[in-house]
Amino acid sequence: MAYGIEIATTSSTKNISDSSPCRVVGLVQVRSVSGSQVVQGFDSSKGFIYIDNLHELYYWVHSFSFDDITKTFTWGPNDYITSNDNDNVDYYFIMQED
Amino acid sequence: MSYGIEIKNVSNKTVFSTEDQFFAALSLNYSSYASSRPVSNGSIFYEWPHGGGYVRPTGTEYIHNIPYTSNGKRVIHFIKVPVGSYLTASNADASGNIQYISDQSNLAVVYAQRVKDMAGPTSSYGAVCYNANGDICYNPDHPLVHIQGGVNNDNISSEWYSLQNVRQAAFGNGNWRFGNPAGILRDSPTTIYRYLYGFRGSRVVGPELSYQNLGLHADIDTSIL
Repeated sequence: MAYGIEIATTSSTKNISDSSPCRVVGLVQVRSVSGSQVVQGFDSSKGFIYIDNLHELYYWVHSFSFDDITKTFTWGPNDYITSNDNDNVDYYFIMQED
Repeated sequence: MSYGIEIKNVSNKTVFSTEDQFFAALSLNYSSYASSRPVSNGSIFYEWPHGGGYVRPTGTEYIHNIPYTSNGKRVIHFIKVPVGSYLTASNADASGNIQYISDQSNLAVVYAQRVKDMAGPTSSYGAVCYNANGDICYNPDHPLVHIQGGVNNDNISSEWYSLQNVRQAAFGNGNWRFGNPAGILRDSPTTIYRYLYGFRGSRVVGPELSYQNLGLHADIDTSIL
């Protein structure tokens, strides 16, 4: 390797800094129907959100938005589902470039 | 960053930071199908976003129910999809599983967890990194999951895929709307077709879905699992 850190383990050599074009810079664990939370380090023009729906019955999640100026993630009831709001979703914020 | 470790590559891009959330591979498991049935007439994988073509699988589809917790903690599945095969994800169920559908009767599944959710290292070698909260962000006992991007990216060559178990989400004023369950079909070593729930038959997949990310693809060193 030409840079970074390499760790020798008992079974192999592992490079912890190579070939990872994406970084998970934030995680918002939503346990409410609506709310907001600041996610520093995320830029929606350079990254994306990975959704992990934890709800056992509902296959829809929130309507949400991200303000790149205030770095605020805001969520609320799904625009297209009028009942049975989901309140158990993890949102991972992944940057593809810095 | 004002503390901890940050590693940049030759392009000045940060590739490791103790402020990040990291996924690491907990274990490699194999799922045998729970049931099977003829492929649904609605199972269509589109060439979107690059064209209007589609693939409609035939034959038998296999349903897999894969647990979404391990050691009492949430896991994210990265499932091996060989070239020529497909995989779709549905919602979680009350039994603690996420249901997947594939043309494969057996699936190789890496259970990944946030490093902070894993037990600390037991070995007496290597390096451990902690963030400002005292959470472990690097553990030499488990290989890191190197996320390569979302599955709406081009030039996908990863073998491991994590698909969102979400059928419908909405971003902003409907501009970022998910139409899942997410699904992919690898038609070549570097290209995939996407399964878009709700966009069937003659409906045109429009530019409003251009922000859609149906999942992740990653490189994982499974040799030590």
